Amino acid sequence: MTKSLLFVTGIFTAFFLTASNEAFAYPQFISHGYNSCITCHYNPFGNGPVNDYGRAVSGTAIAGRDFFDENKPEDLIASETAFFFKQSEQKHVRPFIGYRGLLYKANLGEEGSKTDFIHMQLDANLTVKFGEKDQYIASGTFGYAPIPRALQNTPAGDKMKEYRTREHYVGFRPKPNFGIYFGLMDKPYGIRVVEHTSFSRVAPQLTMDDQAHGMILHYAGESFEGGLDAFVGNLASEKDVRMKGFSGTFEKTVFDHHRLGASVLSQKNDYIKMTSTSIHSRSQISHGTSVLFELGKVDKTPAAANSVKRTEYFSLLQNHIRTTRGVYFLNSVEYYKNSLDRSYRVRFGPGLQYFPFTKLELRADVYNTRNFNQEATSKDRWDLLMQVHAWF
Amino acid sequence: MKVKNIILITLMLSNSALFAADTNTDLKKMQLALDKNTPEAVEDIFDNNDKLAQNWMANERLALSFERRNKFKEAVDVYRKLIINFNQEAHKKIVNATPPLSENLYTTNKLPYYYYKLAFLNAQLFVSSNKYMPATDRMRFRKNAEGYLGLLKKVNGDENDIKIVQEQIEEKIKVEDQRIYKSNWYAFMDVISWQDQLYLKNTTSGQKTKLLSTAIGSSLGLGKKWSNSKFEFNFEGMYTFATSTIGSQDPNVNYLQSSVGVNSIIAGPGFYYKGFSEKVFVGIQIPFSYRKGDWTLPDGPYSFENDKQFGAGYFFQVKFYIGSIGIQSRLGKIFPDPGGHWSIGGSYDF
Repeated sequence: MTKSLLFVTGIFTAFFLTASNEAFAYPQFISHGYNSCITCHYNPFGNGPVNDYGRAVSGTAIAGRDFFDENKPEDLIASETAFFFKQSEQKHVRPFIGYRGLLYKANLGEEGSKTDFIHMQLDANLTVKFGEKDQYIASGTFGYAPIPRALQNTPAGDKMKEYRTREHYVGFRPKPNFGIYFGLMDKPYGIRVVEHTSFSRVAPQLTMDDQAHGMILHYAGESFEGGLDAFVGNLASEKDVRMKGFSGTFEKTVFDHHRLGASVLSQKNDYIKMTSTSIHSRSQISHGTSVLFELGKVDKTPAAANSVKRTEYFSLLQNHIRTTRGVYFLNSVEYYKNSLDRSYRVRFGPGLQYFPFTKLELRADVYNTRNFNQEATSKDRWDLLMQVHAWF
Repeated sequence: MKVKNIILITLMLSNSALFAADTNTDLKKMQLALDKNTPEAVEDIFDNNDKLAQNWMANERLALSFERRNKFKEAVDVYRKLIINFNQEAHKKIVNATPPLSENLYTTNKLPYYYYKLAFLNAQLFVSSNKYMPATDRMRFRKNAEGYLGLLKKVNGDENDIKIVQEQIEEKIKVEDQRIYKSNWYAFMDVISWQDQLYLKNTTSGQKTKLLSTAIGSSLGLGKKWSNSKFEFNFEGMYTFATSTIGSQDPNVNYLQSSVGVNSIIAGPGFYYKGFSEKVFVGIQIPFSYRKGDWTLPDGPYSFENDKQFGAGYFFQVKFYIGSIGIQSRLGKIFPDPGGHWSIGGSYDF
């Protein structure tokens, strides 16, 4: 019994000490008055674990309260948003566990349509912070990360590990509006929407496994926020595929809860050089309802001789409509074009997002993807995605 | 005779004293009932003593008892009697006077208090009125409330009291206004896309080949809508000019055309729900369509089937407003088209 207990404790300790957390970002919550990611996240550009304030916001502003007694005070709900429902008595160590699973039904209504359930993430994170104003921070995430479908059963995929760290960094904020961070992090660029398959994340190669080791500078003024990242690729990957370069993203607040932004990303490895630029806006339409817009292009120049440079264009328009507390209706329209062929793609994606209570998100999306090609015609593709997201 | 007179006078005086004693006792009882929060007892006491009707203090207590029982109409009647029966002269002077009023017109009587009560009670009656109440009654309550509010302002009533009553009236007017359906015209321009299925028929052999056309273009439309704060009903029509790429779905038949002109007309009723936010609309539309394309036949004995097509279907639609400009998107299906039908664009409300 004692041995088992020690073993379990050891596993948990190792789990927490070696790693971290899940990538989820909700830039649409500008609709609730939160212009900046750092209000709720330890990482100033979102993703990763939420801080104590972010946890309280998730419970008292984002999630519904249908499962609570109507007389239950919001303060009590906020206190239960802490790790495993109990507020910590110390302020230095903050653990976090997150899980995201996806039921994916591809090619709805077509022959050969199949259903998969994918465990997208099971992460554990530990964030440690010190200093009078928490100006010293270290955060690490480790967990399960499935091999991307495109790489499954390929030599590259065989080399990949299913357990990895997607984020670990140390940070120092000498002033509340300025911070410097070192480690493995997502590159600051554009709107970091949660849908990692959106064209605005796929085209500039900023999906779920595209983090890089580097240094990030972050500044958040009253009406201006921006960041610069100099990175050397993910040191856990092979040298030849490490993307090295820099990125920067800047946002200016116009009116109270409307932001205009611009981003640049330049990165290369032994096989390809990429330069991405984009402009974006995030706007509160009314309380809980927002619209996001991003328009960008990516120049991709392969290193191999005689290979052709190509430019990819993308845009994203996403509505996020609060119907009642905890329930959101989403509507996405995406565009993607590759200069190499005469085709382009448009994807429509209505969805429903439900936070029944804090620590649980349920989501269902239908995607309609249409190819426009002057040299061929193909039927629309309809996909159904149902997602469960839990965190502690 | 002298003695008789003295006796008579004594009797009259004692009678008056007796009545006065009764009135004072009943007034105390009325106040006690109010203090004990048994306001219904006040009305009983008032009804059992006719003399109380001529006493302004008794009338005030009766009015208060009606107020506490939410019998606002009855309370209004009593306060009006208090003005007419006990303060008519002063009231007339206030009504006829032009501001600024000399203070002795309202500091020497209780008229400011009665004006406030009448404004407040009429406002409550107006606020609690609904569509089942005759419109004349609702308007009367509103006009009375506004009238007494005017008098209250004239006699320099408490600013907070005036503000509270005024806000209640304005809020009710706003809510009433929001329920009323208003109509207006709007125009819109969308990028629109859909897929068509038609058949290439060999008129000699009778063999049919499935063709799939993917179209994208622009549409211009005009609509009329009837909306209140929660719902919008509309009817709109649009003309679409698009280009399509069409190809054979049979690998054995080689047929491909691109940049073919396709035109369509779509019209139908729609509905939006606006309850989530006054700027965000979510709804459905029932479109009826007619389209034709300029696809060309290959050389030989061929003809098209379904190259002109009527259809009907459904759209899910979302739009949000920035001022008079709306950004709208739709996704749905028009039968018998094989694929989805979507559009995204902007609208302008006239």
